[in-house]
Amino acid sequence: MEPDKNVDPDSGYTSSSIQVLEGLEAVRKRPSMYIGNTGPRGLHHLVYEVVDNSIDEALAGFASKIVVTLHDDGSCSVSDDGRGIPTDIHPGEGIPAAQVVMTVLHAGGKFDSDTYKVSGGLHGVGVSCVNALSSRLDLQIWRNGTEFTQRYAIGVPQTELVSKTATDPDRRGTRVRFWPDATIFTETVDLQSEILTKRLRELAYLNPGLCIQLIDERTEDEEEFCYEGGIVSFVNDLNTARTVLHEAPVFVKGERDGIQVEIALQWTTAYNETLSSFVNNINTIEGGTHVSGLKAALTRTVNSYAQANGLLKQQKENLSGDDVREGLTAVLSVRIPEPQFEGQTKTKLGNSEVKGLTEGIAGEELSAFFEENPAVAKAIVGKALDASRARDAARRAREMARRKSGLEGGDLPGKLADCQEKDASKCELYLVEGDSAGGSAKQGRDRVYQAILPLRGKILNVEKARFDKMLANNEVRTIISALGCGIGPDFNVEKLRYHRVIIMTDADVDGSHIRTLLLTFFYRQMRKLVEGGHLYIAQPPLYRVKRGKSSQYIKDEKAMTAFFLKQAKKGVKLLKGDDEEEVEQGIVGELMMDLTDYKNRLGRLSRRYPSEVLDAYLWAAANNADATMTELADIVRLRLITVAPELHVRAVEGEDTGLSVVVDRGGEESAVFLSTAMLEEHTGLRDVHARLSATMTLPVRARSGNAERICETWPDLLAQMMDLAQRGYDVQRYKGLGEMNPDQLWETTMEPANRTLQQVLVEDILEADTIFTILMGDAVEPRRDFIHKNALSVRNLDV
Amino acid sequence: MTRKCPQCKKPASLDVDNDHRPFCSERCQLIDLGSWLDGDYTISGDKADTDGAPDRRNQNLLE
Repeated sequence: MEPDKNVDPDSGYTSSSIQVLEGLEAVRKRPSMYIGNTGPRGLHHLVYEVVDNSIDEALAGFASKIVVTLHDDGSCSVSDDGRGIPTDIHPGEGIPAAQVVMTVLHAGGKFDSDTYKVSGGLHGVGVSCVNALSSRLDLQIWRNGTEFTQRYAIGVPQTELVSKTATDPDRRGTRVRFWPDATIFTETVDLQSEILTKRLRELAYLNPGLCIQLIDERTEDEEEFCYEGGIVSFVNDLNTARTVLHEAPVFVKGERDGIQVEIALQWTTAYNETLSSFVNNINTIEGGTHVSGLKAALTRTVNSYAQANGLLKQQKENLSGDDVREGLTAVLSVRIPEPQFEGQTKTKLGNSEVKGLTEGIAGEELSAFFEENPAVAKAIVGKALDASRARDAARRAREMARRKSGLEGGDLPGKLADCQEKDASKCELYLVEGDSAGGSAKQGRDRVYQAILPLRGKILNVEKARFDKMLANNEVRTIISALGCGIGPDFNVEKLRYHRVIIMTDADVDGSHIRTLLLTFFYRQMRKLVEGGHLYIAQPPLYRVKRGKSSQYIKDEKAMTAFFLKQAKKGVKLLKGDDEEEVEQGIVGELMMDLTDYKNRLGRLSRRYPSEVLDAYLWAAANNADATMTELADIVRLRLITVAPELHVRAVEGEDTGLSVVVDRGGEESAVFLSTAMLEEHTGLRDVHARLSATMTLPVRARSGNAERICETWPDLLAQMMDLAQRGYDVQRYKGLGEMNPDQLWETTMEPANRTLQQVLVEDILEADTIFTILMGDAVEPRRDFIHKNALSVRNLDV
Repeated sequence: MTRKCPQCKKPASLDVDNDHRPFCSERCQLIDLGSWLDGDYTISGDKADTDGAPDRRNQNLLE
């Protein structure tokens, strides 16, 4: 701070400005009353007290540089380039004013608010306190080309105030060097530069332009604190390691009724709030009216901006102050002529007029800032909304946990049909889609250890042609309370009431959606339940086979093939060639196994050899052992045209060692070379074909009742047999759990001996979450939409 | 292993030392919880989805 040239260097700062309030004697008796304590904190207060005197000169515009030096001998000196303490004789005391300042408690220019409009200091205890608690203190004053010196010990003058011509006639200012009294500071008299740094830097931020130098002669370290940007620099530096929501801090400055208010604030992505407040450079740790004013302004301004811009549509209530201030870094500095301090440590501002004043100044400037920076304002509101939602969710999670424990676990959902067993490791909970299936499950279950919770999905008709699925209201809550292990911060997998949680949904789209929702929920919010291997998916049968009045449920495709193979074996007769000679029914089973084997082998090779072509070649080769390649080519061509009309035969050429065949299936051409050598590589296929050919000659007739089919190839025979076996059966893809009666549900899906349970692994569910994210698509609720968009803009800011 | 946080889409570690996995933070997990409790989450379907055809896409991934 440059000394104000317009102010008379002496501007009435004479001994008459020094008012004597009280004597010094008590200070050494009860040092803690004056400096807080006699530990390291009190010791460092001595330095601040002296520095504050210099700051007062800086605040009044007379000083611009303060040098604090920690000397080798344990002493500390503070010098400034201010006007120098007055040295003329104090009218009341009859001694030099400087000596009054140094020896009389509560003596100082600051008690006359005309001298210093505002003043800091340790609430005006004064430098005399420092003097009293120092084993030695040297005072030097440069004023009007004269240098004055005086020495004290434990506050008692050891010399007169001696004057001599200053070596530098232009020098002015005050220098106080003191040696803390080891008999008072029994713990330590070691001043630490690390501790001083924090406060001195703070003072430099609060007084932009003022330079404070800290020299530690013991370590030869030197630091200078000087911030032209003032508290804006303060905020910037506090936020160095944080991600900010807007580039430059908002700076607010105003003055009313002689009270100056300065605010710098910036929101970050952090979750905590950093609000530092100062009154006349004193850190008001306990806050006070100025802080209340700022907080009120923040809450009001952010809410009214959000309301005016429709950002709170989904919000039940206004954003709270805590939500609004989350991630906020703010420095508030107030200068006030007569501060009243309250609180335990006298660091709480009590002046009631300051609240409205701060609120007014801050509110106006913030509103203007938001209007000018809508993107920033939206990001701030978005963050506050996030904070509000998270807080709300945490509160509800706690409430659920509390309600639970309050009733000793008696608060189970009404829809839950619990089991009798109390040992969780033996218990199972079925989450069943739909009330009707839930009802069947309740009847069919083993009530000793199986509990049933029916869940309702809800279908939202979002647009005419689109239906969105969600879990009906409260279903998630119901699940949480049934499981008994809490949620959110209170989640505890140890309290899980069932060690098997089994999701049982229909095998249709709705079912898969409900299942995806549930899996995603467990993955995101009860991860340990999944990791602990407690989550399962029931596997209800996929097919229902009906014949007449009896019906049977069949688990999957494989089981169904086996079922009909069995039927075919019993009910289909095979007739060799044109006559009525039947294939011995006893070998039909074996035959069908070969047919299936043959079909599967052809299938496995189908990517390299079209199945029809390979089958025709095998047939031709088996039945025409002596044919030349050219003859064989003709036979294969004819065979293909006859039995595989869907294939377009382009060319079949006999070559030296085999056949070159080119066919076209729906525009897709494949060229293959078939030979005895090639069959050598696939002896399994060749052998099963040979076995089949040895039993029967194609074509074979398959007959069931009065239906008869002529089968030209082995795969065709298998297909026709299966088809005949299914006659009279009604095969349905199984639709819903509700179709099964309780007994069937028990037998197929719930009875441990028969059921198949798929344990859900974290890797599976990771996919579920991905699917979920994709399926959620754009049909999310407007609130989510907003949050999502907002998250995007926040991310952009982070780049 | 790192994946996008389901809530804020920023990278989130799936390592065991992240108590809030798959989320990046407790905050994001709580916001997500709020959405579950409010029944905000829906799965969007379309006309083709509602004809009762099996949803192979999901099944394959989950089985």
